[in-house]
Parts: sequence; structure tokens; C-alpha cells
Amino acid sequence: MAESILKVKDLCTSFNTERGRLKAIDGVSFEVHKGEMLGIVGESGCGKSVTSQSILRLYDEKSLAKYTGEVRFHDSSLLDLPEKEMRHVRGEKISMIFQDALSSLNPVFTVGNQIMESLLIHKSITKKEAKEKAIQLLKDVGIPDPVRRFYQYPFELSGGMRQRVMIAVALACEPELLIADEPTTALDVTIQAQIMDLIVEMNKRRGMGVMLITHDLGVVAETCSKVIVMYLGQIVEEGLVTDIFDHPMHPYTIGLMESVPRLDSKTGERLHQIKGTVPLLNQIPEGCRFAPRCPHATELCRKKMPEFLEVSDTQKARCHRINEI
Amino acid sequence: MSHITEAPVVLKATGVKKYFAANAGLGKKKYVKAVDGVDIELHKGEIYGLVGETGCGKSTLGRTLMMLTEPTAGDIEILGQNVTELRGRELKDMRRKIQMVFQDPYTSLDPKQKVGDILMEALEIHGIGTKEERLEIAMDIMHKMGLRTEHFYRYPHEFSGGQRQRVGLARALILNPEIIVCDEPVSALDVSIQAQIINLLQDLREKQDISLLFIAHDMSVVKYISDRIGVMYLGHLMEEAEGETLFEDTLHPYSQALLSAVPEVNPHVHKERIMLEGDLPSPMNPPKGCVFHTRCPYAVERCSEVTPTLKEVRKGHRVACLRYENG
Amino acid sequence: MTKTIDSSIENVYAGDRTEMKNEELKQLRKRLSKEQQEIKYRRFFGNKAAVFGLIIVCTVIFLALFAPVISPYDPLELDTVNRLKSMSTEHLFGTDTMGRDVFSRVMYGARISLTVGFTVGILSGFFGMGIGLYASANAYADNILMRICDGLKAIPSTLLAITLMAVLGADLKNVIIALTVVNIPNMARLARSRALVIREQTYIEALRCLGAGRLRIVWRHIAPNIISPIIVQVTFVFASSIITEAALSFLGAGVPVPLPSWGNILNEGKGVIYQAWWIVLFPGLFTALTVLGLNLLGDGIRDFIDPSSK
Repeated sequence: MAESILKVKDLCTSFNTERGRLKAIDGVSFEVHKGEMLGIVGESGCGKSVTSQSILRLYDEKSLAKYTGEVRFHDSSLLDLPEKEMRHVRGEKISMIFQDALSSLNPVFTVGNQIMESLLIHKSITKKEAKEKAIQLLKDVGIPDPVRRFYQYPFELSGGMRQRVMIAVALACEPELLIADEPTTALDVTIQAQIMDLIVEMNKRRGMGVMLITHDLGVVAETCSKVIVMYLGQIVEEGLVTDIFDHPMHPYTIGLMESVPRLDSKTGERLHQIKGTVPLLNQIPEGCRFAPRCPHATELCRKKMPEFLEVSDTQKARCHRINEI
Repeated sequence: MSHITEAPVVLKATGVKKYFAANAGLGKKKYVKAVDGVDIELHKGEIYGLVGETGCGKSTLGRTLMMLTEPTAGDIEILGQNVTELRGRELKDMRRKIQMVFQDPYTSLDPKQKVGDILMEALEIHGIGTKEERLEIAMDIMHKMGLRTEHFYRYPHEFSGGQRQRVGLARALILNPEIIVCDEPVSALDVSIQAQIINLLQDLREKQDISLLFIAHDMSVVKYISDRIGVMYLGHLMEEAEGETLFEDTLHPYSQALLSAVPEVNPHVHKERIMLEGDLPSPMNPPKGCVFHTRCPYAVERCSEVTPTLKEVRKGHRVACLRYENG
Repeated sequence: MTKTIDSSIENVYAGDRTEMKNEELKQLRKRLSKEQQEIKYRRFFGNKAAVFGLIIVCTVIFLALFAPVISPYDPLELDTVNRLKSMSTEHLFGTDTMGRDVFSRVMYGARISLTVGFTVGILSGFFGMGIGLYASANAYADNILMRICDGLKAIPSTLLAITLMAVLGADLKNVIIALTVVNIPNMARLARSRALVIREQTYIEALRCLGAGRLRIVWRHIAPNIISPIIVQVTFVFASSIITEAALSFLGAGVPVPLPSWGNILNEGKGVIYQAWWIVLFPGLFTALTVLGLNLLGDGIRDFIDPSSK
């Protein structure tokens, strides 16, 4: 197995809110290896974005957030790094791309400026070199006429182009890990296909690890090698993409798989639905967090939190009745 | 579902165009051709799926059919009555027949109104029933949509996205319309909630014989629900066919590309992608000839000269492409 | 993230159906609106600054209401023997140039200052909202009304108020009129811009689909949704009017002497500020405190009236 770059262990992030301290994620552990593409899926409020932002410690620690657990990037423990060193990690070692490319790019700077900025902060190179590199990057991410685009402002580009620029900015310093938080959610399917192809290509060509956070199971099935399913701040299932899609074990994963409309379905078929809605963080149920919505829940499920158990060498799930379902 | 196409037509749009004036700078007036000549028919009890990417004009078409904006050209007939000239009282009465469900359940409900008041107001506007009767009707529709009695007295912000969308549906249904235009009703919702709403819509059609125009960008969702599907691109209807046919026998190159781009929820399938070159052209000056020719893998010279019209290739399957000109 | 009041709303799914009798419904309604009220109050009282503001404002209002009871002297009574007396148990805030008790004058002054502030706030809020709503609904009127507002705003507000006072003549009623006119343009602008935002919301479109008329949309839906920033602005106008009134009176263009308003007292004390600083200090302090209180309160009110705000 390839070398592990990121190791997250028992990560908990809690926020100060009006209603007291709320744990947005609770004991999340996983690993990302070199050249691997890890998919994190779940519905809104499951903590998938919080997980990614906690790795880079993007939340304000003075008043808002509190992290516990361990995040190991190679040999350094990210949760213990002083803010100054953390800044070196962000953007240089670990980069992130977000869903909304328009608001993630600064509207008053040219595209070229923003790519160069990242280079100039982290690398000791001259402006001229940075410019050459930036144009090369624009070319790499498939932007036609990169020299002209270099001098354009974000509003002059289409949504797909902006997302490509975002990727160029993220890749500028050749990070070892790319965190993509819903990178294609705001895009149309034809553009989504282009962007996902680009991310996969970058992942293969540069051997960087990718953490893909998305709610779109189709995208995960097509691109990722490993998948983590999250529900209400916890990982409920983890496995190879074939494990998860061919024989999901956790009732939530099963429900999720069945409720996705598929192209190979028959018209007029009924979709499976998971009853109820995701509870709020201040109303986390006792025992298994999925129990109130689970069709197989028993007394035990409502009382005791299940362990995260191995089902096979590659697959793990958090369910009491794993052998019965 | 061929019986559907034999049912009476409840909504018929012919040659509908909607242009928006836009300033092109230096005092020049230009027009954004959001919808540029679309013919569409909706039969009784039918679910018609209208798909297309951002900027293809599907939402504008929906709003035009809802009489929220006036069409620049073309005729819209609802239940046999031409609605483009309706005004005042007649227009208000016509509105009872056609209702809309919106994409964003967060902005489509007045935050200052309790859910019960939102529902009862629809009845009040049309002077239906006494206060008690209105309460009864509103309560009943709310229960049918899977909401509980106590929700009647709650504000929209106290609801989750799926629940709000149920309220939106209840509001559209309370006047007993014959047609509902759904503008991306599930795209803001999570998968599991999305399934609940889709099933609800299907139940509605079965139980109440309502006709639905289902506007969406997600091909797989549309496939689930629609009897017939129309594909739009840059203000034009490119292809129209019965649900299964469109997916099994896709004719238009754009529909093919759109379909091939949908990710398959199966890690063992590796689809051949038809990658479209470049971006959507600006609707302010769409390409001459076939609007798709700038990105079409099969484009020939004639495509940039002749604008194809929708031709019936076989029964119920219409395509606007020069490749199928002769059937 | 969605916010819900209690857990019962969640875990609801299609098909859950409960029938209730009228009596039960009423009870449920009462219970829920009580809960909703409680949340509002909890949110308001959780805001310490707002509570502090409320206490200040209430105290000043209390003092103004009971001025005749609290004041040991008649605020207009001259006592030329005891001029410019420093603070003592007899004259808590000392006496002024004509031997009037400053404490009594400040208490009575609160009545006038608060009346002016409150009336101006309410009137300019009311008219400003009306004009703003009308402008937002009618493009033609919008052009004219907004140009007038811009014109009025181009003149510095104190200057405009002085000019108006010069035309109308010094009188309490005229002070209120002048200050209202000065404050309407800002209110109208605010109301209009908020209304234009609300107009674009999908729920307005949904109402049009239902066949709702223009009047209903404007009064029943746009107006309630712009009222919270307007009310907040009213508290600010309330505060600034107290200051402007003081400034006008200070310049001699406000409430006519010998009526005590905080501005008047300040004005009269300015000549003897080195001999009798207390004449200036106390009305100044009261003005500053009241304005502070109102501003703090204004922020709290916003959270209080908006059911969906954080």
C-alpha cells in the first residue's frame, strides 16, 4: 500500500452556539494515502465539510471552534502546530477547492494575480517565474488561450472556467493533498464531467491524494477508490468503492443507495425513501444515531452506540445488526 | 405510456419567445433571447419533464407559462383559453387552474407568516369559504402533504428544507389546480428528502390526475418521474420524446452528450463520455443556424447556415437536428 | 442549518396524521405562540447591551413621566438670590443663571426632549415607509420621489432644520415638523431599498401565482418584511433627534425659552461654563446616556421582532 499522507484519529470539532456547545463531528478517523482518491459522502449536516475544514483548522479557534483528537500530516500534528506554521501547510502542502468558485476568487484581482499570489507566498521565486508558472498552470487545467485569461477578472469567466482557475490556484504549489469540497455541485452535468476528469487526471499525474467531499453518489462511484459515509457527525461506513456500492452494510448507506434516482431505472418506479429528516445537532438521539430513522432498529440500537466494526478486510460499519441485515 | 398522449391537451404553447432587454454598453440595446420559439403541449394527467443546463431558458419558459412575465411572442393556451390577453378578474380566475412550486424552499415562503396563514391566504385571495372552512381545507391539505397539525402554527424558519418544500406543494395544491409547474422542486434537497418529494409528486398525479410540468437539470430525476421529456438548449427545444424512448434511442447530439455526462451510480460501469467543447454561448448573441453547432461533434457547414426545426422522426419523438431532417 | 423550537417537529414523515378538535387546536396555537414568544424574549434578554439600553431608556422615560413628582422646584421659578449655586442637598444639580433648579429643569427637559425624539421617530418612520413602499412599487413615482429625497439629503441636516425653523418660527410643534422632514429622506431610502430586495424574493412571485393583488402584496407581505430595519432606524432617529433638537435649541432655533429642553439648558449654561459647569454637565450627560440607551436598544429590537434572525 502506498505511503499514508494524512491520518485523522478521533477528530472532534465542537462549536459555540446560542444553544451551547455542539459537537459537529464526533470521533472521526480515517487515512488518506498517496495517489488515493477518498470520497466522503453524506447529506447536509452530516459533518463532511466540517471534517475537511477542521483538518486545515479553518474555523476561528478563539471564540467559535474547539478541536480535539489528532490530525497527522506526515510527521507533524496539525492540531498542535502554531498558526504561523499552519499557514505554510494551507495552500502549500494541503490545498482546498470550494463549491462556490465565484465567491472563492477575489473579484478585484485578475486571475493571473491570484495564482501568482499563492506561488509568491509559499515559494521563493521571482515574479517573472511566477507568471510563467501561472500561465503553465492555466494551460494544465485546460483553459484555452491562457495568456489572455491570465489578465482577466473572475467575472469575465464562466462557472466552469472559474472552477478550473480555482483548481489552478489550488495546484499552484503542488500540494500533496487536495481537499475538494463539493467542487461540482454548482455546475451543470456537462461541465461537472469536465471538472471531475481534470481532478482525476491531476490525481493520477501528480500522485497527490484527493479528498472528495460530495453528496453526489454518482461522482463518487466514478472517481473514488475509497469511500466514507457520514451521518450526523460520525462515520457510519467505510470501504472500497466496490464494497460500498455493491454490498453496503449500514442501513443508512443502503437507504441512501436506494433513494438515488438512477439512469438505468424504469420510468414510474417508486424511489425508496428514508423516513424522517436528519435531527439537529442539539437533538442527537441516544444510542445509534440513525436508529430513529432506521427500519431495522431494535431496543439495543436505541440504547447503545454501536462500535465501528470490521466487516471484511476493507470494509467497516457502525451497526449492531450488521450480520442480520 | 401512450395513453397519456391521447388524453386532452391542458396546456399548449406555440412559438413562445421571451426576450429580455439588456444594455450592451454605449447605449446599444441588445436582447437576451432566453426562450426563442418553443412549442410545448401538456396532456391531462401527464408529467412532462423539461431538462437543460443553466441558462437554457427552461425556468423562463416556466415563468412565462405561469403568466409571471409576458411572452415576447407566441401563444399560450391553458384549458383551451388563450391566456396571453387575460387581464384582471379573468386572469385571477385562470391562476387557480395553474400553480407553481419553486426551487428554493427557503425563499419561497414569507418568513413573517405562519404556515397556516400562508395556506389560508391562497383561499382568502379567491374568496373561498368562511374562516373556519379555510382552516379545515388548509389543515387537510397539510396532512395530505405529510405535515402535522402543529406545523400549522409554525414559522417557515422552524422547518427543514424538505418540510418547507411540502408546504410549497401544499400551497400550490390548495386551490385545486389542474396544472402545476415545478421549477427544480428537488434540486435544493438532500437525496433522501428528494426521494420523498418525488414520490409525493407521483402520488399526486395518480390520485388527482394533475398535469405536471417538471423542470429540472438532473436527467436521472426527470427519468424517474416523467412520461415525456423535452430537452432544451439555449432557448430552443432540441428533442422531445416519451421518457423511455429518449433514454434508449437518444437522437440529438446534445441530448446524447447530456446523458453521457450523468455520472453512473455504479463503480463497475465506465461510460464513454461525449465531452462537449467549450462553454455555453451567450444567449445575447446565439450562434447562427443550429444554436448547438459550435459545440456539436457532428457539426457540418450547413449547420451554421440552416436553423433546424422540430421534426417528428417517429410517433411522439421530435428532434431539431439536420441529421434527422429526412426522418 | 435549520433551527427548530422543539424536538417534536423533527422525526416527522409522510403519512403522520392527527385530527384535532377546535378546542384542542386553540390550545395548541396558544402553546406554540407562547413558545415562540419565549424564544424572542430569551433572545432579547440574552443581549446584555440591549437590556442595558432598555434600562436606561425606561429610567429616563420614568423620570420624564414623573417629573412633577420628582422635581423639588418649579422649573420656571426664578430665584435671583440663589444664582449659579453649586450642587448641594437643596439643589441637587445646582442652579442656573436665573437661580432655577437645574435638577428640576433637566427632569422637565426630559419630557420635551423625549417627546420630540419619539414623535419625530414615529412620524418619519411612518411617512418614510409609506414613501419608500410607494416608490418601490411605481417606477415613475420612484424617480420623482427619490430625486426629492436626494435633494433634501444634499443639504446638511442641521442646516436644513435651522432653515425650516426660521421659516416656520420657533415652536415645539415646528421643531417636530422640521426634524421629521429632515429624517424622512433617509427613512424613505431605507424602506425603498429593503422593499426592492423583498420584491425579488420568490415568495412574492408565489403570491402572484396565487393571484394576489398589488395592494395585498405590498401591505401584507412587503411591509411586514421591511418593518424590522425601519423600527431599528426609528430608534436611531429617536436618538439623533434628541441631539438635533438640543443643537437647535442650543443655537436658539429650537424650543422657545423659557421652556426647558436639554438643548435649552445647555444653551443657557454655555456662557457661564467656567463658573457653573454643572449647568452644562447634567443635561449633556442625560442626552448622551439616553442616546446611548436608544442605540443599544435598537440593536436588540431587531433580534426581537424578526422571527428568523439569528
